[in-house]
Amino acid sequence: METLHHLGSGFAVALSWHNLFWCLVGCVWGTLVGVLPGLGPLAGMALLLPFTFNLEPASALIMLAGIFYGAMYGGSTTSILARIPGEAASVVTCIDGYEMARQGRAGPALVVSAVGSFFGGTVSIVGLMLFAPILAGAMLSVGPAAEFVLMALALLVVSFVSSGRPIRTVAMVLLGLTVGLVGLDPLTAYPRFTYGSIDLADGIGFVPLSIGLFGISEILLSLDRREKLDPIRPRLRDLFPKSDDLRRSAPAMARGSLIGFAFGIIPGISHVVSTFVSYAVEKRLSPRPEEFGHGAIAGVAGPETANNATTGSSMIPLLVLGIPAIPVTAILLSAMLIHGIRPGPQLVSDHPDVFWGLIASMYVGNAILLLLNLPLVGLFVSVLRIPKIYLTPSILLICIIGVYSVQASALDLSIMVVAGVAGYVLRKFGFDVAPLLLALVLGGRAEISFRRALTISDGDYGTFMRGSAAQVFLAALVLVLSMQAVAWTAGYRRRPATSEE
Amino acid sequence: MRTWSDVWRGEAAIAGILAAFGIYVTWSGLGMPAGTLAVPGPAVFPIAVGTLLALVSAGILIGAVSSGAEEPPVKAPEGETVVTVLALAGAALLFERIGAGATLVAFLAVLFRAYARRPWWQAALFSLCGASVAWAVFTLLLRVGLPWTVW
Repeated sequence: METLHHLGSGFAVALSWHNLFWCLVGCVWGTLVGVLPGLGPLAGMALLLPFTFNLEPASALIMLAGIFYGAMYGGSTTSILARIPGEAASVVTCIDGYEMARQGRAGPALVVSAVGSFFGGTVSIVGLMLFAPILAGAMLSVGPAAEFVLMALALLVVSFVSSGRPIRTVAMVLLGLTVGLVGLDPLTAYPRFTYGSIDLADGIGFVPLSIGLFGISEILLSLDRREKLDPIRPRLRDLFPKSDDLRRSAPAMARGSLIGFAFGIIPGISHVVSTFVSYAVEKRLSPRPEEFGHGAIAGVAGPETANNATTGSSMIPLLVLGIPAIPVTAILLSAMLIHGIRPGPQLVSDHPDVFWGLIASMYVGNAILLLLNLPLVGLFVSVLRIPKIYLTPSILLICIIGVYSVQASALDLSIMVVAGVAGYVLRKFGFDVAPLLLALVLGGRAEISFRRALTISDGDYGTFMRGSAAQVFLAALVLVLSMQAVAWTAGYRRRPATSEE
Repeated sequence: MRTWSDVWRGEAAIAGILAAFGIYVTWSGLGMPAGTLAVPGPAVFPIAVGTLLALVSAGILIGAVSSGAEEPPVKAPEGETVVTVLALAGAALLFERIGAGATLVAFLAVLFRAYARRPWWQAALFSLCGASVAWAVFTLLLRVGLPWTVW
């Protein structure tokens, strides 16, 4: 009952005219960012982050969250109509979505994708609404020692469950921790790796680094791939699916929403993984698995639902623990800190308007996106037809202006370029850069917690094993390490047989 | 028989650079105040993280050199990619020196010429239009402060 009361207050915030406007801006920009290959929700959010400085905190977060789930909706459009994923999580939709479009069934694919996204997003928001306040209450008693163990656990999970080979991911995590050391020491203000520069005293900026690593590198990679877009154009009257399509999609949507919600909570697992898992589950459970790869509607419904179901659950670690589960929520964390809001267990009690306003806006945003995406699909598709010679320079120009406007610092532009080239090279050779960004965000807090815990306990290292919270996190940490050790051992034992073959 | 050209692959090069970076961070950390066991100083994390980075990167390097694992060939960057990087670097260096206006005009002109292979006068026209639209949107509409000129 109390939850409904809080949600009502949240709707009062979300449905104010200016917040509705910013929600719409975020949803439209997010859809565009999702449609256009080369940007992605992370770069799309990072680009608009500087422009939120003059907004109220709730408005800023509502707009940025709108970009996040808007990109999930938009990414499927390019996947279905052009077989190019607008953003990473829409890769799986290319498989059956484009086949449906080639068979003249682009409309049902788009509708099922949009409805599934709405369903997954709604389930995810309900879960967020129910679980987050409970978890927040449990986390209030967590001190610096338990917080350090939690940060270490999050970094470990990111290292071992992210895509790519674990040792490469660990290297990226360590590189992110290293980059995070630049600046004044948080506890003593001792300059570390600043080389006398006042600009570097504040550390390496998150916005230039994220735009460089993700936005610039993606554009450079797409230039290498020399992609040519020729999307299929569906007619509005062909949009409506048959009853058989909806009947076969419904169970896939239900399963996809649960899969996406579960995967979204775990730090380091990108929403891409949930889409692959959902596709595999649907193929396994289908009475006609041979249809998959040739236009199976469940192959679109399940992954697209899972994709959007991660949006709400990935907010839980951010809002309750202050830990961004995926790089996109790290942008939201940056926005909160810029506006003087510290995410964590006290967020619900200290800033209820922000917390419940954000949740309510996600309901509103999902409804807006469902209404926008179908009638305006032709408009969004026409964006894909803008020639690269105009589109790519325009995106790069926005990147330059967006990055510079954060601190009016030319050094940020240099950081963006260096990060862009580094991201391009790393990704070309199969290194995943997402863990680098997560480690950059978590590393500073881990260090502060570690040193504070020791100062409070007067140098007693046993403090990291005392208290129920620290013990639970420590047990989880040992479990993750044990599971990874077993996995490595099993992989090592298999290797001699492979080489003999 | 393996040759250096087989061994010297991108993964090995990247791992080598990361290992060197880790060693540098550790060495720099040794010159910072370490504090005490009860009150760790600013040196602790640089030394710990730098050492781990060096060790893990060395592991990747050794694995890349010794395993002979099959890696798909990595394509060299396209000309447009190289021009884009150089244009971005130029924009970063010149943005405050010659002003945002001149920088963005030059930036857009270089990219338009590289991507579209049109004459310079068309590139100049496109870049002037693009920079003007950017000024209108960001400065007039969004009120973003940019150093459009140097005076």
